[in-house]
Amino acid sequence: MIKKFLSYYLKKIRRYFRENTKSRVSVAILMVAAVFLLAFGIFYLTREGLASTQEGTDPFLAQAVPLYIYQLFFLITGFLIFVSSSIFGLFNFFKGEKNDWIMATPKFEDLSWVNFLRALTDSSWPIFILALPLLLAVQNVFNFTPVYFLLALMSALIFSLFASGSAIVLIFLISLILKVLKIKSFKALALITGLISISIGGLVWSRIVNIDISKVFQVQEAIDPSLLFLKENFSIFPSYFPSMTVFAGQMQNMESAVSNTAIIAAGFIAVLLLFVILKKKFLYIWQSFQEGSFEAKTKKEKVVAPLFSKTAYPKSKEDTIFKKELLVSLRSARNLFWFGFLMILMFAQVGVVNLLERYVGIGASQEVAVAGLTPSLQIGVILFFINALILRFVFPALSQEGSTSWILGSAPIDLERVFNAKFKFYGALLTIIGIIALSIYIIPLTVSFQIAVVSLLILTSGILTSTMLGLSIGTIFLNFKTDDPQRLSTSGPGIGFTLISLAYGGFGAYLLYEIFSGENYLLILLFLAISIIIYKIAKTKALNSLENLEFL
Amino acid sequence: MLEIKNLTKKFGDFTAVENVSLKIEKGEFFSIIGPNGSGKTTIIKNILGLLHPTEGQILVNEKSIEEDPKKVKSKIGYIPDEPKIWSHITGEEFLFFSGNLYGIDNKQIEKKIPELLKNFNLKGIEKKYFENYSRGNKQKFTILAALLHDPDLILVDEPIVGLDPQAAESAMELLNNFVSEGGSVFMATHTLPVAQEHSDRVGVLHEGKLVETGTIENLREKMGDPEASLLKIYHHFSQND
Repeated sequence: MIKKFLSYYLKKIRRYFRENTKSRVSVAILMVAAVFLLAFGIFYLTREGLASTQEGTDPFLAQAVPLYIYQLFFLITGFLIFVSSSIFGLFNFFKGEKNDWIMATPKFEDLSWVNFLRALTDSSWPIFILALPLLLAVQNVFNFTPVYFLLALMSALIFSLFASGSAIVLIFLISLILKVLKIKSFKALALITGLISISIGGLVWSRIVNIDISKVFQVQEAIDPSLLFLKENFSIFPSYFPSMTVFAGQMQNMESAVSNTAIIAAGFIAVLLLFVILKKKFLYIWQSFQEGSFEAKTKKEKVVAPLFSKTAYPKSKEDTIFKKELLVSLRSARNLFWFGFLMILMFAQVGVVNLLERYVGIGASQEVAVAGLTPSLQIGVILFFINALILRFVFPALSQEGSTSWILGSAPIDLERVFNAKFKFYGALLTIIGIIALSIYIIPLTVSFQIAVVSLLILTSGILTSTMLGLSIGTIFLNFKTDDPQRLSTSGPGIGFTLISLAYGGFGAYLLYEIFSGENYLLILLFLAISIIIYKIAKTKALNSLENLEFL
Repeated sequence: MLEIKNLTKKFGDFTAVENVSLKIEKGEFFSIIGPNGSGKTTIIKNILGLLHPTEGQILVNEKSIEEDPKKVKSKIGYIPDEPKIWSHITGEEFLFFSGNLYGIDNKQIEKKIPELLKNFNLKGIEKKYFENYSRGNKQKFTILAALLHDPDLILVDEPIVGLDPQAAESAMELLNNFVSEGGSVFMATHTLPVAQEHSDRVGVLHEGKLVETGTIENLREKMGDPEASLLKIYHHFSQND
């Protein structure tokens, strides 16, 4: 099976490069460069941060802070892998499109294996990009021997497989219970999985935000007080073990490194065994989720109005498209899950701000930083996440019409109106999210009214410009061949949008810093002028390309 | 009603439709038959403005789709071969959505919906999402949406594929009524008995070229077999090109 799976991936890569080879090679190079830059950033920041903890003579700082960083890193990445695998599992095991023909063959069980392996690989590869540079930084600071480095790397990888596999096993277990209870609703499965993920997220959040770090530093007499306190706080999570493996490397404790790696490996084997048992019921579970709310019922039942159907249909054609976007976006469980996932990432930042507020003293003592650096960084972070949302939802918005494009194409409506309606919908939605995020970010910093207003102005214009840019690039490079948003987002134009929008967001954050630190408010005009130029050029180019559009 | 003048459509080096000319009168049911890949759907997409002709001109009510697309499209109803609709929209919402796109007042749509639903016995499922409909029921909603704005011309690409016999009969009855009330139908199909039964005239398309048009009787005369079925006519003209 693994051989088949590898051959599937190799064929997939070959197929990808077969057409438009030059442009696709450029995309691949750009992606590798972006990944390398990210990895280097993690390596550099971690190395500098860890090195600074080793400069003093305080053993608590030298041990507790690195351990705390390891715990946070594995806890957060583990949770993200879990959520990402849950979303993958929900929509690929039982609701995957075009699976019927495989399920009709005697090899139907292979689909569960393929999906399981896909969940493990698709959800776990980010840990390579995140954990490898982190471990290299740790190795660099603490001079790990190769054995410790290998154990730490193994521990991190096995942990990511464990996090991903346990999400899939959980989905199978819930599905089986639902089947036994004769509940054939996919919505119920999605809801329960979502609620469990939120509960785990809540627990992770409470352990991160509510930890009293001062306790770690207050215990002066004990030999290794940090360990005990952090153990109490984090040992309920499986991420505790890979963190302890890395820490064991730092402390040169081979026994602890091996035992922690063994524990997480045992956990993964248990998950694997559970999956092997549960997959025997794959067809049995799969069948029930194919039924949906089938319309051919003999008994008359009360018709329940679907979500948002009560909102009146507007009179203008543009508003009609707006309502369609609203219904289609908000009723799609897959969209909502991905949206929620990106929201979790975005608001996780609030936890970091809280921690900085409480333990490092930003806001209380460093007024200069509050006045300039922190709000600028926060705006940069918000724009970064908004750009991630744009890439996932706005960039593919027109391409995703794909097989349904005949509806709009055959109707007497200008495609410019369709474009405008999509911009209005996503622009409004993302602006609201941006403003909420900004409020949550800057309220704890107690900034002045002036800073708040300028931040709001820069953020709003930044979001609207990036939305227009994403929609326009997605329109210029329209692709009706696929409606898979992941595939569309990771195309050459998608990467192009990411690079331009990151540069634009970074520039906005930098200008904001200059505005606050130098009180040069004229720079706002510069940012607005640049935004208007980008907005206008992008829109004009997109509308020009729509004029010659063909619906193949 | 519909006039196609020397239509040619190329995709790169490939010529999908070559120099096709035909005229369909008001109140006429015209069917175009031809094997897979002969260019039937490409012609429909050109009439509808979903594709731009490489050469030639298309006039609906003497107006060019290229020059006044909104006006021309507002007079056309389209029933595609694949009824692909957004999964999370209900049948009823789709009818409202389609009506709104053609500028019909909500009250008018609300009044029309019960009558339209009766045609296919769809009452009771109109508030369910498209993802829960069978292919046939999806097709029924696209047929109703095409009729909602009282078009002058209906373009149909394989109208009865996926419909049960009763629904297929209803669909053809709807189209016939539409024609008897003065509308025109341009139908692309493989279902030859349907084309034979309902069409006033038939066109045979082969490798992008319209090789013959006429009433069934005309075509029989041309091939010298007064009893020939449409299948025989189809084989005769598509092989002798």
